[in-house]
Amino acid sequence: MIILSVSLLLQIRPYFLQLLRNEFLVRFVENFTGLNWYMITGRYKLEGSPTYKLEIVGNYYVFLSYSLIWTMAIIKRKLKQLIADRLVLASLISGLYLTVLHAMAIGFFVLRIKLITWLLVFAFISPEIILSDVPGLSVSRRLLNMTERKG
Amino acid sequence: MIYQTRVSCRSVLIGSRKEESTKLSTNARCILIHRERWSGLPAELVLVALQVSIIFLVLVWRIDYAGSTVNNPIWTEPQQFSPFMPDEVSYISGKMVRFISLSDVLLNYLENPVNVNLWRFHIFLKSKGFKWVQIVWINIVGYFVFVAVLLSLLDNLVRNSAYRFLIFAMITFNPGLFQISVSSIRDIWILVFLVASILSLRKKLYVLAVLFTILLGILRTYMLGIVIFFAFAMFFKKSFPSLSRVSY
Repeated sequence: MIILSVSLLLQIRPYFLQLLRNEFLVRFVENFTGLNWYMITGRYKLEGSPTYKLEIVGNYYVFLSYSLIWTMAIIKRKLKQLIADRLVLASLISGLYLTVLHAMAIGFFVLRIKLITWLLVFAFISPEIILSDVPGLSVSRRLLNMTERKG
Repeated sequence: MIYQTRVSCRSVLIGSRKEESTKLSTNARCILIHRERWSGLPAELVLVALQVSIIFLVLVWRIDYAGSTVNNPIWTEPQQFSPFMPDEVSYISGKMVRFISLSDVLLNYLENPVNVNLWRFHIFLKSKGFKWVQIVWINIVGYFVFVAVLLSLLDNLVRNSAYRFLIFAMITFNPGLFQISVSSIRDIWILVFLVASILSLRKKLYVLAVLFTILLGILRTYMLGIVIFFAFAMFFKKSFPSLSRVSY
């Protein structure tokens, strides 16, 4: 699907490949961490319309929540195990798909597009990270085992 | 049910390293999360009242702002021209878009799969006689439909626990969701149809999955790729065992 979309785009505008080269890494980081150059340089300002202010606050919210979830994944050493789950893998590939298309065709992200990957990460990946304090054995499974033992 | 809930709460205590210090907070959490033993409803529903309040406040804030800036033309949003103007004025190939037919949508996808302005949701609704505030109300309904569909998906993925409650709260209280819910852009419905498609696939309701996927494709065509990824993920056999998924 990614290859098909990239091929279609290249058929129409060959210079999209150059845009992809320039933007891919930056957009990849932005899509999976919420961090962007405006945030680093402090160029976001809470001014203007209410919807714009909400967008700025939302950008920081997405960055902080991603930081939390990836930090937990690193602390719990869950990164390798994550890839073994099909739904997690589908979420990561979906994020990559959005990154490639947006980096290639328009070269930027708005918050509502980042929300799609963010939603998939929180719905499918965060349970895998949060629900496990012992590597390979989730909290829910531990609770289930203890329930069975009590029974 | 009651017995199992009590055991679960106790086992959370046993599993914790700091048993004594966390006892009080864990008990409070168990009372909150396992409230379904009395009501039979998911604990996440306690958040709905808060969500309604926030949505209402944001909407009032936005409409007040619109009212004041229409009188004082220093405003940069399109609504400075009229309170019923949509949020975005969009262009495809340099032309302002008013309405696109389905054939245009398909052709446009071939031309540019990332064209985010394939279908102007608010223009479509405006052509049916809706005004700006009514479109915002439709989006607000979309937010609560999203909340319901997401809860159903999380219920399908994770058993009822404090963690599920936290994940649900983190997702639904994202300011970005409030932003797109009080605007006239269509993105909240994209999220609704995306989650509904994936949920239908998980529940093997294929007719509904196709229906939601078509609706998703109409709103934003390249989102179909994501549904295809998830369909592949669900239909293909597991090549690696996922230990944490076993318990769900």
